[in-house]
Amino acid sequence: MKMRKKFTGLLTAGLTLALVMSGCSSGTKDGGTSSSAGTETPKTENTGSSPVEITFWNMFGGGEGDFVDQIIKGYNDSQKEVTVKQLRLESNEYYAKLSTALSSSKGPDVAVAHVDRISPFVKAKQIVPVDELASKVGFDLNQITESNMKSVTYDSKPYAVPLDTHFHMFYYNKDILKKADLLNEDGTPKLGEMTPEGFEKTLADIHAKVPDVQALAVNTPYFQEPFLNLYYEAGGDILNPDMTKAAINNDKALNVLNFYMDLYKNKYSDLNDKTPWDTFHNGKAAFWFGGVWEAGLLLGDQSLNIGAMPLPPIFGSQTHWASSHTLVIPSYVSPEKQEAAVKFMKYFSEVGGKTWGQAGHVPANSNVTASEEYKSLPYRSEFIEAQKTVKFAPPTDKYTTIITTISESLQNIIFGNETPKDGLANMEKQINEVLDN
Amino acid sequence: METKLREGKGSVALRKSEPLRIRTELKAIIYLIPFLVPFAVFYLWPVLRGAWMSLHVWGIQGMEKYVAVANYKKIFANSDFYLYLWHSLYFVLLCAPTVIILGLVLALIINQNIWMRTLIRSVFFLPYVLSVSVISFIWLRLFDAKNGPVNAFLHLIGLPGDINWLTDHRFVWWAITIATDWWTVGFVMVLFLAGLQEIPTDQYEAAKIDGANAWKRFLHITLPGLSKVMKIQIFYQIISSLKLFGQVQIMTGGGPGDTTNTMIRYIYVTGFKKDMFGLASAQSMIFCFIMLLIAVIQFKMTDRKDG
Repeated sequence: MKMRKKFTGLLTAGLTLALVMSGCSSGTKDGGTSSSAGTETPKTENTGSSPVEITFWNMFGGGEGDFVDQIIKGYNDSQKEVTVKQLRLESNEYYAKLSTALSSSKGPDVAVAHVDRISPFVKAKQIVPVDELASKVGFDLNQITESNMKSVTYDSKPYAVPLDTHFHMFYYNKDILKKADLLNEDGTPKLGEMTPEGFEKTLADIHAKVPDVQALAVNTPYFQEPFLNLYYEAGGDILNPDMTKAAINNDKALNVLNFYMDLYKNKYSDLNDKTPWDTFHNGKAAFWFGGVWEAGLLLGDQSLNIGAMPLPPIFGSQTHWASSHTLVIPSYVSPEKQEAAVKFMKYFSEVGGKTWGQAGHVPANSNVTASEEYKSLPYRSEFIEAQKTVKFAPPTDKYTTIITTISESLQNIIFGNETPKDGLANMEKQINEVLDN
Repeated sequence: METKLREGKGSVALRKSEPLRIRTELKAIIYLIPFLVPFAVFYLWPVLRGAWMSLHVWGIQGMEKYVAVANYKKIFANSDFYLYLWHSLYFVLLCAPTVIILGLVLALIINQNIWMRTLIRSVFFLPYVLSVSVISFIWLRLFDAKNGPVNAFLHLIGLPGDINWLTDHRFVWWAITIATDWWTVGFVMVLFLAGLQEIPTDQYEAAKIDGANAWKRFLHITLPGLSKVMKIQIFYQIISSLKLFGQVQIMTGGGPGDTTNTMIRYIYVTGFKKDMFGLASAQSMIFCFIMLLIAVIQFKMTDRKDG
């Protein structure tokens, strides 16, 4: 009897073990089939009978995503050789996933990447140069605006196809400016003298005449953006020219910080506003340094009575912050699929660019920006003007770390945990540590 | 002679039982496998791998170089580490006592035979089933300085001016504490309710006959009766408060400045925002060690009381 009981016990345990083991083995079996499927697909491509299917990763949500959907659908309907399947990832974890995919050689055949993010991929040879591929499918890269092309060039080879340039515009609320007596006949703002003091005076005027709104809504939650815009205007740089040391601890940065601190102190801007973009959209602020991607929302609705112009040269020059969406092809992608991917890039740039321009970003393809179709969109001449003076991030593979360090330090400064002077010194020290590694 | 005999017997029994014990142990392990396998794969292995990573410079491309304990040295030399560690401990001091006292008070109220008892109990327990992101977004709206209901209510009862709950150094920790208390107090309350039901009612009756008032009955019967539950609660609340992340990430982003940046958010930013995975692993190992230390101290202290 006792023997039997023991036997049952062992049997149960054994059974459980078997179940667990089979769970594991089925897992490996799955892995096996998927990898064999991976090697099989190119074979079917070679026959040429069915279209090549490529996977396209991106992080566009909301309004931008709808435009991308349109472009992909347009491409898939326009030809029979290539089918694009997209995988939309959450923007917050996009780069964690993309870099994992690139280093484990499993993932997309073509992917979106910001220009300031491609440097580590180039350094690790995880993405391929696109010039030869482009000439193979008759995609003339000379159509792409020169500054964009330069931003993706490493060792005189382009490693990505730039889709657009995006940056900030100076949006203004005409109703508020009218109340403050600062609107010209043609609907542009009277901005006075282009110095920090002069601009502050304009803001003071608005504050005095329309006290219940913010004169300038400052993007406090992402303060690095308004900071970099004016710091670049002042002629500043994040790093020294050979990108070995921080170049941020200087009077230019200090002046920009003091300027913003002044705005907060004088209540021209509200430090406690956690959603300044909504504040401006709801007509509670006169000025706003907003992204071009907000154009659809802010300029599309006539009743808002909002205008846009390039950022005013408050600190001297017109230079301002910019980034750019690009398309990259991972190195692990088979030659057939690489060719298919570059065909899709060609379409996205030449035809899709027109759709993409509606989203607000300035298309990188100069044929698109020269087209009547694009120019007929509201304020696009201003956008093209502003695009001429953009400054991209320094092409270092440490940029993500550096910009995160800067944005965290800036938060500490504007909320008074550190003086601007100490904050900048601290920032410099941290960036140098990052670069030394 | 007698003792010798007994000794002999004992040793014989011991020798005999040896193979049997191994077999029982083995059997136990087989039964434990369904737990041990996932535990090893999803917990032990990542921890060991984290320890391994913490000895390297580990970037977005994977391992870059072996640096021994340089990551640890760097952490201890950085004043931010001590500040954020203090923030995590500070939150324990704020949150653990408040949530336990509130939970106990609620449990005592609901344990009475009051009207709509079940409804009230559900109302207080309901937030606990929500995820941290949901409660954080709810309180983000509630604490909105301009259009938030909390400030609207304060205006109604005659408080002048707006309180910038989430961007003012003086209030931000309280805002986080209020949100967290609201979220977890239901769970604390339910555990205390279970504890209260275990206390025999005749003790209260006897105390009443002896003339003890409500306060004395609470102090000498209820509290000692709840001591076991209380220990678990304190232990659990300290650990969960130390792990504060979701609320600050969503409600304040660690701000204003870095006022509400906690250890966990520090690790998150180092690893997932700055792509310094080696350094982040080292930070995690240190914080894990600190939490274990706190747990051990607590176990020792409560053990002594029991003895």
